[in-house]
Amino acid sequence: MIHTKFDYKAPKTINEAIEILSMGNAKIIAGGTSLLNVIRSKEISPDLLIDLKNLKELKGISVEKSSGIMKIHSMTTYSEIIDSPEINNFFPALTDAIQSINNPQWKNRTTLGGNIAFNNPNADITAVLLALYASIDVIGKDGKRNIPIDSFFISPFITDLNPNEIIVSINIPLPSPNDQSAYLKIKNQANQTAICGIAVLIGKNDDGIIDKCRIGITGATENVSRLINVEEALKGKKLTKENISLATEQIKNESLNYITDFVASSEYRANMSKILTERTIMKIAEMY
Amino acid sequence: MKISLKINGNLYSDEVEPRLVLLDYIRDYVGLTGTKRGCESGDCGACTILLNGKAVKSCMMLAVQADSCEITTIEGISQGEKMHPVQEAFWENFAVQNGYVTPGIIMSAIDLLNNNPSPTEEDIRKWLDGNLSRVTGYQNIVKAIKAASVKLKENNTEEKQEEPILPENMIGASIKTKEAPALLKGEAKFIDDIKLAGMLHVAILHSRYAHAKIKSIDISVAEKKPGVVRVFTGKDTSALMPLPVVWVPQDVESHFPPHPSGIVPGSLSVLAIDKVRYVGDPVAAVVASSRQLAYDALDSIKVDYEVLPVVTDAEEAIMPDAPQLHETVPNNLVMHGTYGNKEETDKAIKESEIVITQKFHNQRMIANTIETRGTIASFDKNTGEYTLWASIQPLYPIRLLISAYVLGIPYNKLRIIAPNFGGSQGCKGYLYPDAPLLLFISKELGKPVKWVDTRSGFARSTAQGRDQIQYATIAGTKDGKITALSCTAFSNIGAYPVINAPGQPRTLIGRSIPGAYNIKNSFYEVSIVFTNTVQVGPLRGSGRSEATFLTERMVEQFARKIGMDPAEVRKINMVKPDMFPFDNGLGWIYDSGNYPNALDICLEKADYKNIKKKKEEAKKRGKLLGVGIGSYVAVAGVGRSQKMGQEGLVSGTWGSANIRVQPTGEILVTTGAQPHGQSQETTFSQIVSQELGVPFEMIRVIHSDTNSGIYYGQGSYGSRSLSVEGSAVHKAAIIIKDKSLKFAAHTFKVPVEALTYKDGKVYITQAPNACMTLQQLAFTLWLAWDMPEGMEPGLETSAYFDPPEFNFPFGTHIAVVEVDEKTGHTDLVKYVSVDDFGNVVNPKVVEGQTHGNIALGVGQALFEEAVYDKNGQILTDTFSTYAIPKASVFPEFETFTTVTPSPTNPLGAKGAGDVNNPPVAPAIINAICDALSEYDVKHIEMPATPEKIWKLINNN
Repeated sequence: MIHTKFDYKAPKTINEAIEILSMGNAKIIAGGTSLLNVIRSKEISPDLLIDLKNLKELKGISVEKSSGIMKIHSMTTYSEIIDSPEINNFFPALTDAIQSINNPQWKNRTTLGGNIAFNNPNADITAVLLALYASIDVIGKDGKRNIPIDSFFISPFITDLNPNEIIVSINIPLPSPNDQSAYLKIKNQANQTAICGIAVLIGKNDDGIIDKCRIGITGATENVSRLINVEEALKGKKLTKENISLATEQIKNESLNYITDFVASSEYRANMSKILTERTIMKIAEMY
Repeated sequence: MKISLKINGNLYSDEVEPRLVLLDYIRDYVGLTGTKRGCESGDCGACTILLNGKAVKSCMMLAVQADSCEITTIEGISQGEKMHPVQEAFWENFAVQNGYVTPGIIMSAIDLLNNNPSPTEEDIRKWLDGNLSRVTGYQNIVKAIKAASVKLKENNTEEKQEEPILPENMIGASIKTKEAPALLKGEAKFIDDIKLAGMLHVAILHSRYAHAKIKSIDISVAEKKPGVVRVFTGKDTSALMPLPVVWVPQDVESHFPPHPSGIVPGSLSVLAIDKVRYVGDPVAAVVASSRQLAYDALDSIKVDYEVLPVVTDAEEAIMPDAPQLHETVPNNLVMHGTYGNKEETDKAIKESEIVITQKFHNQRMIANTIETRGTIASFDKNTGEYTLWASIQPLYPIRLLISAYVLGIPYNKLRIIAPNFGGSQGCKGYLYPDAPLLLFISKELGKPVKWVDTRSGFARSTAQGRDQIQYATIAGTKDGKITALSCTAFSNIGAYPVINAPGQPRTLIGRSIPGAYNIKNSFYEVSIVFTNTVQVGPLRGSGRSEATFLTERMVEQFARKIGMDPAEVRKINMVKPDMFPFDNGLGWIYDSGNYPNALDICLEKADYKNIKKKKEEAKKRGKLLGVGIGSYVAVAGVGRSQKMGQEGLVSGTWGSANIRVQPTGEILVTTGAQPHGQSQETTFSQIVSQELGVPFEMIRVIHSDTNSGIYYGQGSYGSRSLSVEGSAVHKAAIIIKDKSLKFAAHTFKVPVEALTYKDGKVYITQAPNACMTLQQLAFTLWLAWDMPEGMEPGLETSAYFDPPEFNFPFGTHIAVVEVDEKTGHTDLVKYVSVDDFGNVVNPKVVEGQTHGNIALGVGQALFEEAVYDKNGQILTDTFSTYAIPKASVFPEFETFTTVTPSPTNPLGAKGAGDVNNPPVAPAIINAICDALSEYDVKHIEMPATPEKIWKLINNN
């Protein structure tokens, strides 16, 4: 039961969608798996919902070899993503994150675009996209733009997306042959979200030296963030147990705001961040 | 706006509001009610359908989003009468209990098998995490899905022609349940599926504060909202009496709110009048033309509150300066209770070599049945009769309480009908204000009215469970003999008493603390306390769970302290097989059993002797492995009316049954039991089939309607149905048999002794061709003109059974856990149970109850807790915040039974419905403490979350 009334439109073209999106208190609905709950709880009360389901150009996964990126269009569902052999192959962290929620019905409806636009601070996917160096193609009244992932997630439930913009695709650079990624989390047993989730991407040069490292953290902190100090501490090193352990120590120098709620304390979350970071990197070490 | 879509192959076009959720469209517009409403937050999966072939939760979509789509619901998967292979597999594998979540799980399973025709056990369990089941423990569902995958691959959907089970082999046979097909097809009706002509809908406004004075209520805006017919407040209902309390111990002083009857004490009012005492206290009710419009208007009711200080903790509530809830209850103290001899026990403790003390908080839980609660009421002004539809376990007692103590109407002017229950776990065993409120409204407005709660409403409107603080002491000798056990407890029963409030904290816990042991001195005392929280009442395992937890944790600590194997300490102290009947010293007389035998079998099945090796092996994987034992004996079979009366229950607790052999031979059995997932229609048919020698299919068991074959009955609770109500059925069957013999003797003109009753026939033993079937006898008796002197016509009887004693199922459970030393995460890796339920009628049905009891115990040990903030706001009011265990957290349960018949009833049965929940939580916590033994962890409070475990590891 939803207690507020709104209009609903399912435009046939992107331009039409952008046009009506600019008309006022409108919200985009993709899968609706997050949106309907906040409407139900009256946290938001839009006057209009714009369903993007008819926009075929927002669906599907494509590899653009020329630019070396994989484009996951915003209305692609999680089920479609985990069924993609290429994604499994290129971005195991992405599959790990989606598979960390055992909820097949949710995966059949939830879209990647919708999930990141919502920017729930305990979503798994946000940390993974940070680690994978993604960028977001958006389109709005003022045209297209590309938002680097590092500036996309502003604060809980707030992104860099303008009210009149629509996410077109999530672009992830194709991995080099020596890149690996992984995602691990501590799960909230009620809703399966992350109490703490860590996503790591690591690349090595031919000598086995780490030349690429990005780490995203979600669930534990006020906002999804990167662990810059840990990343820096690993770069230029070999992926040994000792180096991993030393680098993980650097997490204490990150400026992070760990949160406390009735599920877990900030103390626990801070400690788990360290343990999971070490474990996720170790997992990658074992993947080589 | 207009939508057109296909559902189960049929085209539907409707004008709908954009905000209409697809679930509500399917149920309310299309009228397909097999798709169930559970959480409305995308967590429970009860509303799962196939959308263009994919499983989705229909509560998480707008109807307008499904425009032009193809939908399949549970009603669309069978081919006429022929069930889908997944449905068949669910039936054959006993995967259905109350069946509320079954349609959603089946739809989800179909999507799984489409994607993955040969899923592994792990695949199935992970997939099932999208669906919650509160009572099945998922195990038979997993098995059913595996079986379905084989059926689908072999394309073998032909139903096997099963050999019919002969009546003489009925008892002990796992017959597929009669109840299942309607549930599997989504055709069984639950409260929310019932629509009456002209029905209006009610929404109840709950207090938003835990403690406040109501200064005024302004309903003027709400009354003008679209569709609103009327708004009721406490002023309108002030002529109704408050709810009564009917368990009032006479041996101690007690303080309850008053009740104008002067006969019993009172509880909350139907609508609050001047004060609210918990978040959830009913304040006003909106009646509107639809459920949507009724709930829409709630926000428009303006209540001016004067907020008062709040207390939520039982120990704080009895402090002198604590906020006072009720004028008639000084210090919020309802009553004390003591069992056993304090002086002797204190002395024994003082004189013992080993003394251990420990504080426990048996945390508050929420029953969280996947179906919320609902009520429909209708008043017929021509006859002056009220009819109430509600899921209520004690149908007849509630009928009496509403008529005599709330509405003040004659008993026979109120009929109660219970539709199918979507689970209870005990929470549907009480009288709630909504039932009389809706009856009142239906009379006022002259129309039927319906109220169905929301999920967050459920966390406020429905009694919660457990919540007792215990200070326990165990004492004993260095060589393992327990000499004394004592416990001082504080029970938090919320802001108002449930109808039987003292029963759980006093009798059920107090008399149960010696557990399976022969402890010479034991003592229990409890303070029962009001706080600004939701009411607390018995929750599955009630009383026995709180008692067993403390006993089993104390025995474990005692064993560790003296350095003895906890299994050995249990064996030394257990009641021995030659001691029965055994007086446990606190008022229970254990009936029969072999407790050490169950323990031994469990140790063997759990491979207990090799546990050290397993610990070492786990350690290599970075895991701390622990093993924990939970032994128990649990009172069941309420039962023994005189004793219950002495305990303070204002009612006998006998069983009742009526059997009518129809002139056409069909046998109608009316039972005083109130099934809510335990399949009594099946098991009671088995009893009658065996006793009267007639085919199972000829028997129909009737229940759930006070206008049926019996006038008063107790219902189902506390694992009483088979041993008490089943025994009444058994007794009635014997009376039918006796009358048949007497009448046949008259007809054949031979003495009764010359006759034999066998296979549903009476014949002359020496001349078997002189024979009458039960059907012929019934036909002749209903049309009788030639009868022996003194015999009445007809073949029917009522029978009552009051057992001379309670019965005491028992057993031992063992849990093996692995704890992640770094994160504190616990995996339950093995679970073995050995239970003794006496004689069992349908073993697979009982096994299902065991699975449910284990699942709830695991939930309590590891995940579940009703969390309140300091203002009395409940924080865990959704399935996103209250963690019901999911399929993937469980290993395959290894369940075994021994059989020691109970001498207390003719079936030799002991209870099974909730009796083996008690050992589960202590077995798991014992296992975790064992895993953490190198950190010298003595105790961990439930739920044992990763953070609590991690803290213990890091602090020690």
